[in-house]
Amino acid sequence: MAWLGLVVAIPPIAPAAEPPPNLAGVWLATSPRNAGGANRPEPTPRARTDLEAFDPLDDPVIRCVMPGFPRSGLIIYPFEIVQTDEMLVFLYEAFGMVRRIHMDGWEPPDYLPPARSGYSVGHWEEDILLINTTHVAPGLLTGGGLRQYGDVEVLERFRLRDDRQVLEVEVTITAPETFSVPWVRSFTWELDPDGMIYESVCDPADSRF
Amino acid sequence: MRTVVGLVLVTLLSIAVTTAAAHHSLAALFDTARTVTVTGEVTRFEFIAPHGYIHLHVVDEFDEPTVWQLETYPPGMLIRRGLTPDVLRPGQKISARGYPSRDGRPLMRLLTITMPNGKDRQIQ
Repeated sequence: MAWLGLVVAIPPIAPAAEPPPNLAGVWLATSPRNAGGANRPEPTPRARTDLEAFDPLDDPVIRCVMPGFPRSGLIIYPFEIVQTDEMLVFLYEAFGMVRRIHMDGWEPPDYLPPARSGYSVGHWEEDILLINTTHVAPGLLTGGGLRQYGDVEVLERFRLRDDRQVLEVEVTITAPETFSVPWVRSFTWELDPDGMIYESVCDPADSRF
Repeated sequence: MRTVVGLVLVTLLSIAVTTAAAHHSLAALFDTARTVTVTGEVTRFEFIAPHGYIHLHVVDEFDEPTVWQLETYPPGMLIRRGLTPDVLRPGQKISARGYPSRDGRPLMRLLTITMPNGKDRQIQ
């Protein structure tokens, strides 16, 4: 009978995609943070002029203004990562800064106002989390007076190692008005399995400077 | 009767600053080329962000009293280092070593504290 010869094509079952690495947890800085900046490229003439004229008492953080990204993300204070498929949330202890990392598929609104922590979009390339941050409001890159002028773009490459105990990141800061070449920095963090992030509310009335 | 004998030692050091102060510029506001050590009695511990402050009543060799303020980390960082208001209380005698303020005020950025039991604790 003809129907006996019918071959039913069954689509192959696609193998389940590997879940991305789990970055969730509280992370403590382990590598030294140097405000002067290892590997820092030579500033442009404009940035050099502003750097030399900088008065540390004019640093907005003295008035409790959040330093913003990338400055806040590069210092020794810990942060926590909350991870879902659609978004990773970075909760920083310093000044309570929050970064939302929108994963692939995010449709940003037509207009994004500049923000102190910018806007971040991420995606996975195998076991590496790449995050690109733009729309950062002009501000200081370092407490020493190195400025960025609203053209900064930051690419972070996060990767777990040592059985998920260490998180390493390479940070590439591109800011043509500040440097002629990108500033590349590398940091490591260690997992604090029982750790937590504490409130860090700042009152300018408490400033000694 | 004087109960607190203060001792101020100024030590010249050449120290590479490898840890950012995080909030304000450490080297711009404090003299990171030298350290000062003071000994006295804790009168207050402000456990606040972005910097905690320990107030220390110090009496120098001329019987002149001064209240030093020891600037340090905010609460979360101090909790991780075990330096909390239930451990460091008013009335306790301690020594503190740190970078002096550049403007000459009795204010330092705390590096090491010698606790009432005589043990040193590195804070920064």
